Amino acid sequence: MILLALTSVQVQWDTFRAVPNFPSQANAGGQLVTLWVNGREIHAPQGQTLGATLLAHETRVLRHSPLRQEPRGLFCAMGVCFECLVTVDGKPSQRACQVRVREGMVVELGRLPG
Amino acid sequence: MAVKAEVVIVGAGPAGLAAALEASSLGAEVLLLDESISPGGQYFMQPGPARRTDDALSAQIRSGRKLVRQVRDSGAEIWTNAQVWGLFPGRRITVYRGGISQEILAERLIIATGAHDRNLAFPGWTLPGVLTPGGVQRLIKAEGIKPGQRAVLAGNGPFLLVVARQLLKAGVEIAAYVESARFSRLATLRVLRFPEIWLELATYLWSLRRHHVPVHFSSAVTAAHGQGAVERVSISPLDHRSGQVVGQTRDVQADVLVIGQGFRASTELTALAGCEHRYSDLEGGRICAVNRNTGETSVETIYAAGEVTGVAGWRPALEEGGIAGLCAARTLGHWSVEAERRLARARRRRRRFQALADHVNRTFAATGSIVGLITDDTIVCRCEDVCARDIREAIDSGAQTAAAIKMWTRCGMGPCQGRVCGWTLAHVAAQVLGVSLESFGVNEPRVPIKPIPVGSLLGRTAVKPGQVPQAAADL
Repeated sequence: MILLALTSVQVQWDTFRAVPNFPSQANAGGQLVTLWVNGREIHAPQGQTLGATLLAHETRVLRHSPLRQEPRGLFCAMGVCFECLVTVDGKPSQRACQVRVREGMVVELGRLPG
Repeated sequence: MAVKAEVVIVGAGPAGLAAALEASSLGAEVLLLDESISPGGQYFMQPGPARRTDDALSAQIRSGRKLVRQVRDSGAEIWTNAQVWGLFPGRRITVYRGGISQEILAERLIIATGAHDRNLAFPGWTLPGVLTPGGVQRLIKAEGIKPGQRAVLAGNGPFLLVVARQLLKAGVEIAAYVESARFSRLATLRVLRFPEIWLELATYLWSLRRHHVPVHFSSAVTAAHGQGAVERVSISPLDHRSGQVVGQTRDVQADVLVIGQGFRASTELTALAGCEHRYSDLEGGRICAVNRNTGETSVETIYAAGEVTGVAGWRPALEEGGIAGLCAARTLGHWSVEAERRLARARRRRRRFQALADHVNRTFAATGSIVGLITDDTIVCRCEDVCARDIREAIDSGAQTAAAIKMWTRCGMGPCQGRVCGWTLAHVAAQVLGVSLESFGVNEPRVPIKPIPVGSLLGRTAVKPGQVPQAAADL
């Protein structure tokens, strides 16, 4: 019981500690790679999910829905909803939240419906 | 050529990891599979490859890392980026990994596939910028990005508190925290009986207080507005019995809307296995029934542990995984005196933590259905653009089950395979038909349980057992 309480205290202590500068795209660890999104050159830390990269660059509309052509983007960010479909290096319907960026990646948004 | 293992575990969250550790420590040959890039599941989510690792890592991430290391050190094999897509008679598991499909034969199977966020549709919920709490957690913790500048959190359940704190720590302003449960109900939370959570709860509440976050109880987000993405969110107080809007609706500016109403247990594999399930809306909807003493499902040699057996958080999941791992190993002839002790301890702890989870779940339970907030034009099935009107018309025309409505409208036919729309569909249909959510039921999952490329099924696998295929950088 005491062990449990102590563990809880340890976990909670972290939350009271001063939070270090939250990593931004500018100071994220690892190598930066260059990728192209609809022809626009952007930089992202290698290995980041494409969904996160796009969101960090304020690109929130990733495609349009099949019937109503309404804007859609990341929703579940964990591979369940299939809303974040984009074309990567010519392959359509890739979940941006699952794809990890690498050097020279070519991303096309909204090229194909759904 | 199939890969064989004594104990195969699907899902490397707390439950799966605990099961792997226990079984492997007893000498069983264990193969642990996970669809993500690293083990840990949701609770023990590890930083992604791009996340700074010289930050002060939270105790949670460190605990997870330690557990994964223990699992590897015990001799268990872990496959990541491994998407289990099928389960066939004789415990034949098919997994998509590194661009190819492989078959695994298990003597014992432990299903620990967890749960995912659950949502009820409302006008504007499909706008970019609207995210699930689990998704926001992943973006912040694993990928190290801010999902936006100004967020509103809305829905029901204690997980929203966790994500609120993560957002605040990430420097995102929270314009409103909107909880549908009543304050008078939440105030009855008996934290003194469970000291494990009082500190945790105090932490979350303190975060909200420190940042002066406006908190609304008995309220819900009734609409999201914006051109192309979320810009503004409508918050309305609701009558807790009827679910109707009572009083003033307020609009708040936000570029992130985090919505979550509990979780849906990922029971696709347990359903394919033919296991018995039960229904509990508070615990994830359709959940796998198990013998709590052994973790065994109604199908012999198949076990289940963690959220898939009832959403209760990481503590019960850890113990349930341990119980299943120990018992599965025992049936294969791996046992010891020490294991008997560990089993007894895990059972004790599981009972205690389950009681805590039950208490929290019941306290947070929102009363009153808010399905009335769904307008005719509200999208129910995001994949196929099926709106509430389409559903209601289908029911009027004679479609009475989830399967029939799917045939009629395509609701549930898209790539998410009904995971996202199922709960809303059940609410809408249950209201029209005048039946309970439980009796309306769900759409039965089919193989493949997640989309896989057809090409991975054609041709033979060139990989020998034990050989690691090159994992593709994407998928």
